[in-house]
Amino acid sequence: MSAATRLRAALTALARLPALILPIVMPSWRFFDVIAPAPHIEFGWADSATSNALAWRPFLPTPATIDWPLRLRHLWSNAARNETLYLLACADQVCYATSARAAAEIRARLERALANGSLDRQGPYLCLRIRTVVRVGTELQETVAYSAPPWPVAAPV
Amino acid sequence: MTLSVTLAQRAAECLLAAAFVQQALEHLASAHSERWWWLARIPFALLLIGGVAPRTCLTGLVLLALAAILRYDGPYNGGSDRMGYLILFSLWLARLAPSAFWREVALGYLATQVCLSYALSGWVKLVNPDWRSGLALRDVFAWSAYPVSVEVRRWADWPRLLWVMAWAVLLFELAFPLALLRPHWLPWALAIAATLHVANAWLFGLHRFVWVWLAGYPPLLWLQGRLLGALV
Repeated sequence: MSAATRLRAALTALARLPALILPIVMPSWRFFDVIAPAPHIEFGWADSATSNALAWRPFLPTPATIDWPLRLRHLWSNAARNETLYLLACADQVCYATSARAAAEIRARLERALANGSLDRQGPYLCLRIRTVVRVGTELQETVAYSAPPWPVAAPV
Repeated sequence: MTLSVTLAQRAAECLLAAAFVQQALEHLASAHSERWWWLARIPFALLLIGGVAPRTCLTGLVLLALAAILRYDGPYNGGSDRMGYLILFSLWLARLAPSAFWREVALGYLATQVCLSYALSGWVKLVNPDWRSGLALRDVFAWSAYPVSVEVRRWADWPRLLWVMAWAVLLFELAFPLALLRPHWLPWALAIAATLHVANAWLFGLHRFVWVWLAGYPPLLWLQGRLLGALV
């Protein structure tokens, strides 16, 4: 990236600062006003850039249970939960604001999980989708709100 | 229980700095480069707790906050970071204030926002029929993204309990500003509010709210004394 491109990117980001700060200094405080569709980030493996994922798996799945001592510790420290909440916010931005930045952020987290060994590599191409769940009337409705085309991930060195 | 403006300001600074240290330490274990965004706060926060150059420390924390807001395109952790930054900006402005009047304006704005954070949350629930029927809280447990474990989702099987919980939360939040009317009511209201945050942390993993909101309480205790004192 050239210095001019970097400068332009920095200026563009700075121009966004007032819009980002305004909801912080004048918050709406509408916590849980509506129960919005719940995003589920899922990933899969594909054989090529044009094929579909063979199977979808949840990224950062909700644990079945958490014992009390761990929950007590989580009152003080739970970096994994923070990361999950951040990615869920990114997923919302991808689905409802078509944010390329938020999609790139989720992809980067997936690739990082792959690099540090918390995900097993099962193919040459990684796929990402976001499935939303919401109650409509008395039924739960599931929708694939976002689907990224498969992208190649580097093989481990 | 009333606080002087100076004591409220210092207490809020120390509690916010402690919350920032807690957030930074959470990121200590993460292997990626983003941890430096958080760890850089620690020296400023510790110096602030020690009362060393508070204006400089707050300026440093504000600059790091702006950098983080740009990096994450907003707050990293939604409401908790939003409140953390609001408290930070208010305390920073209170330190920069050219006179005692403007210091009180900055702290008064912060205290008002803490009060509104409960009252408006209660109001938006009251006007939603799903909250009034208990269905919204059931949805939160049954299928929203918030429960920390699959086991916690079983609370959705207790609709009557959830209806009582929904109304208890709704009425408490809505009535929160009334606690300002009597000096001994507010500490009780703040204790209940803190318990509510702990419950949210326990069930939904929103633990950052607990530590950040505590930092907003001292200015509210000061504002109550200031308002009631003005009325006498």
